Amino acid sequence: MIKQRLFLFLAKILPAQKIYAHCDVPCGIYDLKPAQIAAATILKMTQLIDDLPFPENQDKNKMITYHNSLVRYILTKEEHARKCKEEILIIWTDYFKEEHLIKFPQLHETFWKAAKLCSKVKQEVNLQLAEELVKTVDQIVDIFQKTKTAQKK
Amino acid sequence: MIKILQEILIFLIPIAKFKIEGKSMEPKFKEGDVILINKLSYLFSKPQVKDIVAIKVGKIKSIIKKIKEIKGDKFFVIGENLKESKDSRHFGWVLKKDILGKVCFKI
Repeated sequence: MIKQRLFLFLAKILPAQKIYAHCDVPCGIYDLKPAQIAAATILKMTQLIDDLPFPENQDKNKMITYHNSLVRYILTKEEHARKCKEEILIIWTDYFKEEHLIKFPQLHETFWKAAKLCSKVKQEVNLQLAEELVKTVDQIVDIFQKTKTAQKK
Repeated sequence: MIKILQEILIFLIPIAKFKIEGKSMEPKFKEGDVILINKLSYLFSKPQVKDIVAIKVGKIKSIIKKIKEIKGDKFFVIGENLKESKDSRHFGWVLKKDILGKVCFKI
């Protein structure tokens, strides 16, 4: 009890510093694999939603199954679109530097397009947009790998 | 003036207050949770498996992780939420000198 009161008192008087429970630390570890997996998942979910047959009659059980599947696909699509955006934004803001921009002038535009597509694929069920997102993330990976290769030389 | 006093307090008191940012320690520690770290926890003892610790990264940043494995003076740390966590699986083992202290209180 006394210990708890002491801790509460200390918590009141001490200033709070930030402690990170995510990867956004300058550890120099950057990987686009999670963004690629997320983009591929979005494409797969969009295909599944597109292919999901609507129950022909108003059978209750079939309707429930249909809605259950639809909600699960949409939720997964939403979650991975958020994750994809988060991953590419970290790489964009933390990894890439001015020197990369000189060598790859399309860098900002490609990232901007990918981030916008992450929002678009949430708003719509559109196979073309999902495929475009996969391609754009692949383009980012390509630039990223080229900068890594250049670093090793 | 208040800032100077706070700096003195940080220096004198072996307890540090942190506010969590991120989701890698969920559900145990959520984003926005305030915790206290005991900076003297490991002065006379060794960190133990399952201890939640603050780790120094660079000069000004700190991260919070859980100790999963110990090999001598090296510690393998992970997040509670493995899906959202970048930890020793990515940046390797952590040295004892980089451990700031043990989480002793959550508000």
